[in-house]
Amino acid sequence: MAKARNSKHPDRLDALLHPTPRFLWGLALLGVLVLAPRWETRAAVMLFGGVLATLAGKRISFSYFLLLAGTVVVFHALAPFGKVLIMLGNFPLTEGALLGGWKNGLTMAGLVFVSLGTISRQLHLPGRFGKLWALTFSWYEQLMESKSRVHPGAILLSIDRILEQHYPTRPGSSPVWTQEQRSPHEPTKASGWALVILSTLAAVTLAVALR
Amino acid sequence: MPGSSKKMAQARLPLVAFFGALSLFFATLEYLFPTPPWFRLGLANLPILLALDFFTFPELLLLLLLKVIGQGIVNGTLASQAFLLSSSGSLASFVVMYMAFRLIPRGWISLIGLSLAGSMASNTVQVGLSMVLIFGPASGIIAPWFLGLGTLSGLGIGWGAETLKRHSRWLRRVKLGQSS
Repeated sequence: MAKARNSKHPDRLDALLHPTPRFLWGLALLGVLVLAPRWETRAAVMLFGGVLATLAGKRISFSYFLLLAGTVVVFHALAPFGKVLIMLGNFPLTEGALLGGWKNGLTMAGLVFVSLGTISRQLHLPGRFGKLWALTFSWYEQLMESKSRVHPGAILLSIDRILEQHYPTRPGSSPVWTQEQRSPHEPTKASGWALVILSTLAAVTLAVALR
Repeated sequence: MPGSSKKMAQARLPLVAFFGALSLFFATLEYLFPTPPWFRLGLANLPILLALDFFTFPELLLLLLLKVIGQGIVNGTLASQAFLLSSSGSLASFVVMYMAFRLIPRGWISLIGLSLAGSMASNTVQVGLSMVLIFGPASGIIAPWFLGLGTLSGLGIGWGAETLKRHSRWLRRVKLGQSS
């Protein structure tokens, strides 16, 4: 579906936007995507989401999403609804079912694309849960650094060693849970705000104009 | 809550966080195994299965929340239908596994049985939701395939959890540390 970013595919939006306004921007775009009555608006937001996800360093497979959207259309077409377009043997292919499936497929792909493009791993969650999440994420990153030490031939032993390294349990040892303090993220740049405001306005205007 | 037990519960929170990290780590290891694009093995549930024996109900709920929100943030799908399907499936699976773990006498059900029950609950909820939200009622025709694969993966994950529980020295020492 989509692969996480790596050093070859940096998150270009990260330099422009603080994770919190970026997340809220995503929610605004998702609102337009879900509420827009016409499929054309949803297609536009979906494509924009695809651009954002690519800028965020996610390698997305458009063919996979086309296939998935096609499957949604086929399943919807199996439940006839609205004007009959053509008869395929005894089976009526209907406009309502095709359009409903197409809109659903676009929405589904759009939700994933916008989400991939606007949710940053640096997103800060508030409160005590946020602190616990920061600790979890810190350990996750440490475990990920050990991923290459998981040997398929001795999977249990290798995982056991990794766990012991990061959360020591042997007598006389104790786990360290003071996670590294992340350096605060830079605030959103003017160009970032311009991107957020203009794109949201464009999406809302399109939705209203085409309704 | 008395002061001492409150302190103990506070001291266990980092272990909850570590199990949360472990869930995310296993979710990443999942990509080592070839599966159809629309199907997830659910390896992230393996630490939840192991955690049933370690934590109280509120701690387990916290772990579940760390797992589902964590996966949403790490994968970037927090605001998509994938997150809704995954979190609903995880919640259903957890409720069924927890009830089976608490209600069925020890020794009558292994982690394989718990995992199987959890994966069936998770897959049933996900198939139902995807029929309502995404594919429409006609997609019921693929439900048997999806549920069949889910049953196989549930068995596999249960077997992995049972093996880890029996042979992992790390788990044994964590358990000892909890009880002392």
